[in-house]
Amino acid sequence: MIRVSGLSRQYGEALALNRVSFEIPAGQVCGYIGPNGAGKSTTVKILTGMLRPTEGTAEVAGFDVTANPLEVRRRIGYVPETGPLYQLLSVMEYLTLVGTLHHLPPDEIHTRATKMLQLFCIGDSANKRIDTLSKGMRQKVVISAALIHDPEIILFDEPLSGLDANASRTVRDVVRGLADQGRTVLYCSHVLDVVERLCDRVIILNKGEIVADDTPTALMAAAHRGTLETVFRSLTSDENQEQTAKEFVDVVRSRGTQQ
Amino acid sequence: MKLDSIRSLEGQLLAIACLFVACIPISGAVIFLRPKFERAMSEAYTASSAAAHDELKQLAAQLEDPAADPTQVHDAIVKLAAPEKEWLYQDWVTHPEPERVITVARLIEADPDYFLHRAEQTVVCGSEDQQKLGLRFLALSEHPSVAVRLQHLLRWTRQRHLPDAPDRIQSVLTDWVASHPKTPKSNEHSGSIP
Amino acid sequence: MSSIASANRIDRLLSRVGVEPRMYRALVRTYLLLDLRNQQFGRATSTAGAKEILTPLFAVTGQNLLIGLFCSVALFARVDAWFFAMVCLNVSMIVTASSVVVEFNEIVMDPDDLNIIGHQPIPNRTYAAARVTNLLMYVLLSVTSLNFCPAIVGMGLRDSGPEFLFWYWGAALAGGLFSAGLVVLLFNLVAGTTPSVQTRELLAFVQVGAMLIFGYGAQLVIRDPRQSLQMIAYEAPAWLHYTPFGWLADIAATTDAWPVTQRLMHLCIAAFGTLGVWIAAIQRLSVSYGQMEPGRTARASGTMNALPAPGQLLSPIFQLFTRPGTHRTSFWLAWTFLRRDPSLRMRCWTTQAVAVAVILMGMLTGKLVDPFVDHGKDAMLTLACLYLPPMALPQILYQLNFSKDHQASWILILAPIDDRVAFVNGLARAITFQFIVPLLLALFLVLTWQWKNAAHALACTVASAIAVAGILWASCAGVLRRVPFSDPLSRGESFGPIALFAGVSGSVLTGLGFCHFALLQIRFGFWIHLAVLVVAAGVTRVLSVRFIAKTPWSKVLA
Repeated sequence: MIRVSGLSRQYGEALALNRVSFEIPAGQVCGYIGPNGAGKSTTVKILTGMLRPTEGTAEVAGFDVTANPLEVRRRIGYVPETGPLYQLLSVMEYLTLVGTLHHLPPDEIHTRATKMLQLFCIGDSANKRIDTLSKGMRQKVVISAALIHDPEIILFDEPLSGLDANASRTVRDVVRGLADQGRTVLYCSHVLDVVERLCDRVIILNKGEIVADDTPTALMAAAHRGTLETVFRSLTSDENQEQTAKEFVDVVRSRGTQQ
Repeated sequence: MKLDSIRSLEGQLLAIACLFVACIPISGAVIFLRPKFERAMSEAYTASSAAAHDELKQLAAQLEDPAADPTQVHDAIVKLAAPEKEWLYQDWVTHPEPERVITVARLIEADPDYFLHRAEQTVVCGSEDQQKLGLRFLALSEHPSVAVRLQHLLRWTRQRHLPDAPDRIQSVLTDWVASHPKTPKSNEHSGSIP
Repeated sequence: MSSIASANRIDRLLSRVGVEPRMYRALVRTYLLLDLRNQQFGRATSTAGAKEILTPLFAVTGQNLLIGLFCSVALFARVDAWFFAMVCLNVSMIVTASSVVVEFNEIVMDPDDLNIIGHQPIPNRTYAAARVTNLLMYVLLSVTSLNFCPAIVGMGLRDSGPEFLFWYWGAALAGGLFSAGLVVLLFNLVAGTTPSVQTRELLAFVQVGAMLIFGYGAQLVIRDPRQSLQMIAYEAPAWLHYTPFGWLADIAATTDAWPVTQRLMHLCIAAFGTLGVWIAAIQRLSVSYGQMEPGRTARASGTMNALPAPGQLLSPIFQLFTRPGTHRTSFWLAWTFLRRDPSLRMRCWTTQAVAVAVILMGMLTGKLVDPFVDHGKDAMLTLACLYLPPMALPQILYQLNFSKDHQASWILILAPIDDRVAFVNGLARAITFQFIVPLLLALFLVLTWQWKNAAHALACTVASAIAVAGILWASCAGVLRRVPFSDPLSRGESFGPIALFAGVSGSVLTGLGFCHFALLQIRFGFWIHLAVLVVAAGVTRVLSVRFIAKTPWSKVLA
């Protein structure tokens, strides 16, 4: 489980997170959404122990992320947005490294990695350097690396970025399957229709604060909106997007008019 | 050897090791060619032709003339720029016969530091023949610092284990000290051994 | 069995100091693989792409071996063993220390590394141990390659012997490791976790300059008619023995003065000192690794000094030299890239290394004679200084084809650039102002200082400038054939594709140099030569403009 209490993070003058609190029990897929700069990635990095909170506490699998970061990292799998990799390593070398860091036996690493790559249809690329792969293939490598050690808690940050429709479907089914097996999943994404269909619960973050926390159905009912996207816009945007778009087009046309 | 095996970690380390191995015979060749290196050590007497104007050549001729006014010669040398003094020195060294004793005396009298240091340099940096000329220049000098310079040269050549130079310098030093009994033998120069 | 037993012992030792052995081995192997494949490794050296066989590490090692060899050969049989050891150790320590600083991000503190494995369960101590091992491997390789040839050649000195190998190696390892450890410790204490971009760039230039000095300086020593180095060795002051290099040289080479026990004692002191520095450095590094946060790199962070938009330039002076529209925009583009991309700057400046080295060599040997006064062979070096700067132009302009942001070049491909000549010329003009003008200005000042005749210096510099103009136009046509900044960086390190063009332009400039020399012998020869240069540059310009105007970009995005 993930337990966050009064979590804050400051970057200089800017407050990226402001007293955020939530709990995600085991077996739940929790969507964590918000506009750009809302604090989603900051939250996730705090949960992985890569950033320290300015205030508040965060517990992952019963361990405090500040006091016991190692224990936390042993139990999590993390799929970062635009997952950085050691580009100069081959796919198998990278997965072997990750498996070794999680104390998996060498033959088990090889077996798991090979199977995962085959299931992702990139089995032929096992010995290719990562910098020769396409964006989608690299994303599959990142996901494989996050899951190779069978973590209790998985943190996804835009995991479907760059994936084709088939691979996206596979990943969504994997996420669902992991939760059904009792894993805790935190799922960050801007693709709201996927979040709506996949997640048991959605937390909406805006300017570092939680503005909504409920199931997608409940949120839509409470806001009298038909989709999660409309709920999202109503809670996080002060603008009238249609008006904004119209004005934008007018700016573009005005140059043409001047010509 | 397949290219892929060179691209592996072990292959790359082996390639780097080969670089080191290749340097061994090259370095060994340098040691083997030490005599050639030593023979190549010599001074190049290429004083600028621009420095050899007529007045300087005239002065060079006057240096060995016993009838020339010593004061005038002294003043003329003192006023010379470094390239011109260099030219005079090189003129003496490159024309050793007949030996110009008065020239040496007049040069030393006018600027002992420059010319004695220059002769020292010839002994340090020159070929065997040039060394002898440099030593001869020092031997002909009457300046009191000659003994100290010769001692420094002796220490230097002994320290470097040069084959014949120490004996040559010792001989010159002994003769010079014998002909200048009142000169102090203080060690004014610091050498490379503390 | 014995290797397994020793592996087990090492594992036990690692566990005893709090390092997880299997993780440590995996990380060390990974970092070694990355070092071998890393194209950024060694800023001033050429790199290997994915298909090449030999790696940058190979090139750096080869380069270091050559530096050591050049130093040894320059000093051999000229100086005593002590001075020989002192200079070689000095070179080794400076090059090693500067390499550590320049490659600080890659081999010591790499915040980007956290983005990749920051969430993995690696104990701080294991991570620190792996990075320090990687650093030590690099330092050891650097020290070994720099001192390999001197250690062997030094044995052949008359006042030396086979024992020189042992003592010199001991001193070299102690000195090299000490200087690297001190750099790591000082940077950690003084500058925080990573040195700034400006510091690293400055030190990268220092490193390149040092290599120039050691490489060309060795040739200088061999050709120096005044035998300056031998006299320095002869007159070396006693206080040099109290410097780190002098003290280590005493350990390495003092066969007659110190008994073995005394040398051994001094070597042990050096070793303990080195160990102490490294213990302190590792402790600091462990703390720093634990405090590192991902994403904070030594690359530009925070706000940059805003540069004016295209159309408004940095200075009214540039408005004089650029035409509004496409010309000024492309000038701004190249100028901005050159201002903000240290890698591009470094790649451009290193192509001028030979020209700078020859000018320096001329200054130091006093052979930069005034060709208007001295028409003899001595004038050849001066003429080389005039015609070497333009020789590097094809290579400099070639660098504008490459960028790590090459995929963003679609913007330029899709832009309706109607005047390709103006666009290309704007790029070239930015290069001219950043690199050629400062070099020509420096040349003018050096020549004026050497000859005490500004008019002659100006005339010679003008001749060089006209040659530059001609080659610049020819290079615009011959080299700037692609959309700028559209090719991956790795390919930019090889000059193979323009070798023919560079060879031809180099031959033309060499011919111009000889022509200049020949015409010096006749009355008004220089002015005839200048007229020839102007006509040649003019014709080149006309032909180049026509060629550029009717030739489209030679490739688009792959």
